[in-house]
Formats: sequence, C-alpha cells, structure tokens
Amino acid sequence: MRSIRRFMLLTLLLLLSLSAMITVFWTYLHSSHEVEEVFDASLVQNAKVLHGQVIAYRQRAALQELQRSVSLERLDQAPDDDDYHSGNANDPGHPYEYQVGFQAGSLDGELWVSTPPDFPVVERVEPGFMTVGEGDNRWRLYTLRNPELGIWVRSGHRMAVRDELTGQIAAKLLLPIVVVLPGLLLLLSLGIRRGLAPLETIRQSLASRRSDDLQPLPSERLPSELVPVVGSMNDLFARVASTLDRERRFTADAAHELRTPLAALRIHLEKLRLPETQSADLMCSIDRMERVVTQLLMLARIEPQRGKVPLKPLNLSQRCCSLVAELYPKALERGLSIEFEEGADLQVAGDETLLDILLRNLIENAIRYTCAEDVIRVRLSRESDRACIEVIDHGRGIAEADRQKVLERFYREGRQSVEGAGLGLSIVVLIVELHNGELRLEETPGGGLTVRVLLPGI
Amino acid sequence: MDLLLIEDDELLGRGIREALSQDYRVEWFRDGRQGLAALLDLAPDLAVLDLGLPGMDGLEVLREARQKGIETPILILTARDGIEDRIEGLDRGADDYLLKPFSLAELEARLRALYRRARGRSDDKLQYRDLEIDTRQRQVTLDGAPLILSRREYELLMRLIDARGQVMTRRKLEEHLYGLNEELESNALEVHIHNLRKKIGRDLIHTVRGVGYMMDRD
Repeated sequence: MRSIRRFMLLTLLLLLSLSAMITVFWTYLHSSHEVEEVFDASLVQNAKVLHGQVIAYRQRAALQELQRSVSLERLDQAPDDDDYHSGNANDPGHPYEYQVGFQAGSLDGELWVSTPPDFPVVERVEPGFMTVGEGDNRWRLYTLRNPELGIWVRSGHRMAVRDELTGQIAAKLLLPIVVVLPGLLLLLSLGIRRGLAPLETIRQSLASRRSDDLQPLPSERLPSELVPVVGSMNDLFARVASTLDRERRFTADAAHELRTPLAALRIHLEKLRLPETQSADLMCSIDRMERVVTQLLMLARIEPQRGKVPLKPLNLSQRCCSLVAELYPKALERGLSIEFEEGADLQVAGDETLLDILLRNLIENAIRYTCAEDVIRVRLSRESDRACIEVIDHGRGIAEADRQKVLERFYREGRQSVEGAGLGLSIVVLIVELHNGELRLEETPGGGLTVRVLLPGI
Repeated sequence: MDLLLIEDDELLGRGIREALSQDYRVEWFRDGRQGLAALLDLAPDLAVLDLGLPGMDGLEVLREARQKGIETPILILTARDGIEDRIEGLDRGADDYLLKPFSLAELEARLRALYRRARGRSDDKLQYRDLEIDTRQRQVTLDGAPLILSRREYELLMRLIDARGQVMTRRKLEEHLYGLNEELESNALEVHIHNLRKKIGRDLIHTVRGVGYMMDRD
C-alpha cells in the first residue's frame, strides 16, 4: 500500500543524498584543480631555483658535491608524519622526501643530479609539464631548458601526493554529511509524522466509529489542506443522514397512513358476517398486511435508535412471562399452546419496549410456523454470565444453508405457504445488536427451529 | 345506548357506525371541535375517539372534555403504537385504547367492558357458560345448583372471568388475592385453583405452564 509518509521520506532522502553528492563532487573537482595549480606552480618554482643552483655549481666537482648532498641516506628509522609535525625539525629526512625530486643535466645527454633514486628518467628534454609513469610511480614533471648554457633542470613529484591531498579534502567534506544524514533522516521522519498527524487523527476517528454513525467529523484546528476534505466528508455524512432520515420517516408515515384504511377494511369485512369459508382468505390477507405494516413501523422506530438506546436493568423473566401470557390466546386460536420455563429470575440491561418487540416477534413466528396441537416452549436460562432466551418450536425448521439468509430483511425462504412478511427475524437481529447480544438459529432435536438469544446479564 | 363516534376517516367511520348500530344508537362526528361539543351536549353513554383529527387533535378533545367534568367512558383509537402515546392518552383520561387496525369483536368487547365498568357491577347477573353469578350477592350457581366458594375462590373466579380470553399471570393473580405485601406459600394459588376446579368443573380454567391461568372467551 502507498504511504505518504514513506513516499515523502524516501523522496527527501534521495534529494538530500543527491545534492550532497553533487556538492562533494563539485568541491572535489574544484579543489583538485586548485591543488594542481598550486602543485604545478611549486614545481615551476623548484625548477627555477634548481636552475639557479645548477648554474652556480657549473663545475663538475661542485655538481658531484650537490648530488652527494641530496643523496644522503635517510635515517634508518624514518619518522612518520606525526613526529614530523610534532617538530623534529633537526631530522635530516622526511618520509615525503621520496615523493618529490629533481634532476639536472646537460643537453648533451649527461645527467648531473638526480634524486630520489626512482625519479623517472626521460630522454627527451622538452620544456613544460608532463606526466609519466604508471600506478604508484606516476610522476608530474616540469622541465626547464636552457639552450644557451646547454643545461636542463626538471622538478617533479609523485601524483600520489596530490591524489592523497584531494582525496583527503573530499573525504573531509563527505564525513559531516555521512554523520549528519541519519540524524537528519530521523528529524525528517519526526517532522513528517508530526505534519501528517491531523490525517492520522481523522483516520482514527473514522476507524473507531460505527458503520451507521453519521455524525460529522470534528473540523476545528485542521490544517488548511484538510479543511475542504473534511468539509466534503461532513457534507456527505449530512446528505446520507438526511436521506436515511427521510426514508425512515416515509416508512413510518406510510405505515401509519395504511393503518386506518386497513382498520376500515377489516370492520367492513367483519360487518358482513360472511361464513368462515368465504371470509377466511380475505381475513388472512388483511392479517398479513397488518403485520407488514406493524413490522415496518417497528423497523422505522428501531433503526434511528441504533447506538443510542439507553439500556436499563430489567427483569427478563417478568417480560417473558407477560409476553407469553399476552400471546397465549393467539396460540390457542391455532390449537397450539405455549409453555414458559423460567430457569431463574434473570436481570438484563435492556430496553423494555425493544425486548418486548423481540420476544413478540420470536413467539409469533413460532406460532405461525408450527402445526396445530404442538407446544411451543419459551425457555429462560443462565449461560455463564449471559441470559439465554430460547424459543423452541417443532415446525418445519429452517435448513442450515438458509439460516443466514432468513435473517436478511424480506427474505422468506420456502415458508410462503403460511403468511409472513419475513421482516420479523431481521427486526430481531436489529434488537439483538442493539443489546450487544447474540442470535443463533438452531435445529430443535426431532425437527423444528430453536431460536436462541443471548443477552449480556447484570 | 348512546355512543358518540368521533372519527374523520369516512370509510372507517361508516364501518364502525354500521357495525355498532345493532347494539348502540351511534352519533358520528368527523371533526374534533364538533365532537367535543357533542360530547358536552349529548352526554352519551360511551364515546369512541380517534386521535388524528382535523380541527382539534383527539388528545386535546379528551383533555378538554375531562376538564369540563365529562365522565363518559372514552375509548381511544390510534394508529400509533408508541408506548409514550398510549401513556399520554391514559394520563389524559382515556379509559381504554385500541390500536388500529382492530377486529370488530375486540371493539365490541372493549366497549362492553367499558360500559360495565362505568356502570359498576352492582345490579349485574353474570353468565359464563353454565355458571351464573350474582355479583351483588356473591352467589355462584352451576346449572342452577348453588356452589359454596371461599372468598378467595370467588375473587379468583371473578378475576379470571373478567379477563376471559386473556392469560392472567400467577403474579397478577397473587397480587389480586393477597396484595403485594403478604408472604404466601409458594403453592397457595395452585391450591385455590385446584379447589375451584373441583367445584366449577375441570375444563373451565386452562393452565398456561410457567405463566398462569386463563378462561376461554364466552
């Protein structure tokens, strides 16, 4: 996944390294050029001084003396750089002595003076600069030619000396960058994290909210780049919320509006006092419409309460008992009976109206889908720290594969032969969710459906 | 018996009027204000009041009528089943309420119950299946033969008959018989029911396992 933080960090790191490298390279080039100039100038000067010396020592004997003095053995124990710097100025030698040297000779081909021993010998005497040799033995030479006196002088030093100097300059330039870069990287990372903090805050507040929470995001103290983003999101939330709200109100209004004509329909039909055979189907249809209307109203009432139902302690045993009492006559009409098995006096945290709707839905479903002369059992028990309501029927049950689908709104599975709107269980699901409970559909041993609702107890 | 119907829906109003006209003289008003005036002037025996009305809201009609001292039993019809609405209606002096849509039988039963309650049972002779009950004398006869019931057995029987068609929970019955404060043996109610059944016949009282008892509708 792409991360802004990682992207910014990498880009900055690359740019920084690149600019550091360019700086170092450029400084290196520039300083090595300057170093060469200085070195070359010193070669020229050395050659000139030597030239003067050679003219002064023109006699053969004097020239031999000169060669002898420059060829003096160095100390056996050559002092190293540090000793030299620490001021052993009286020492007759220096480790760098072999790095520089000079030659002088006649244009006839006679070599008078040459030091150090491995100073390159170049037969051709051409005035000016030249570079000869290979590897460690590369030398930079400057030749001065005096045809009037028939002499030439040549000063030189090993290229390694200048390379070392320019290398050191570059290394010293590079060092602070290498040392500072990790620290810089850390600071950059902190800075970017800090800069992106408002994004992280928004991410967290979005991640922690419920999927149906449409409250606007807090928009104060936001960086200016995020204000329009959060603004649009809040607009969207508001639009969705108002659409949902309108939809719910419409459902509720429509259901309310339907109740009066339904009541009229029923009264007019009953007033006719038709024989059972003629009125049964009509009554059945009216019953079904009434139930759909009631359930739509329930849904419309429950849904806006999501996440904000105050749960109060209530006596579940009492609610179950009075619901069974209320619905018993309905069961009796269908030739069924209901038994209530109260395991214990159970308290749960819940909303009375909603739990009544839940129990009513479960028991009515059981009544609807059970054949005559059966017993529906409503059982209350404690399951570790939760209250367990079971509504057990011996009806047709629901195939295992269909159980999930049954919970979805309006799904009706193969049960159409008996009237039902399929809303009942989805209402139950909603209410169970609101109570942080759990709903399980199981098979009753011997056939039928057992609905098991687990609610957190107190 | 005079019944005042205040209902703005043409179809429902006509249905109710026609259905009830066998037992009641029905006066029907479609507007809240007129309905209130009729309630004050006609002093009917019963009133059926819809909540959603033009002119004047049903709850408003109810409140004003009660303020003016009208004691006519009023049954409220409502399309809203919110508990709050119900409580508000009863607080303002409704005697009963019925949620739309309702069955004719339910409406008739409620109206009968309202009327009986309003009149008191003092002069009533009550008939339930083969039982005849003289509520003033507290005399119960089965097929003409007088039965001797204890005070609690009589109370129990009357409570069950009053609520016929509905299940009375054990809790409610115990409260009715003993009040809230009395300590009682856990099977006291069973003993009374058992004795009552021996006297009036086994089949009249159904046991609802784990819940309570009920008697069938007539």
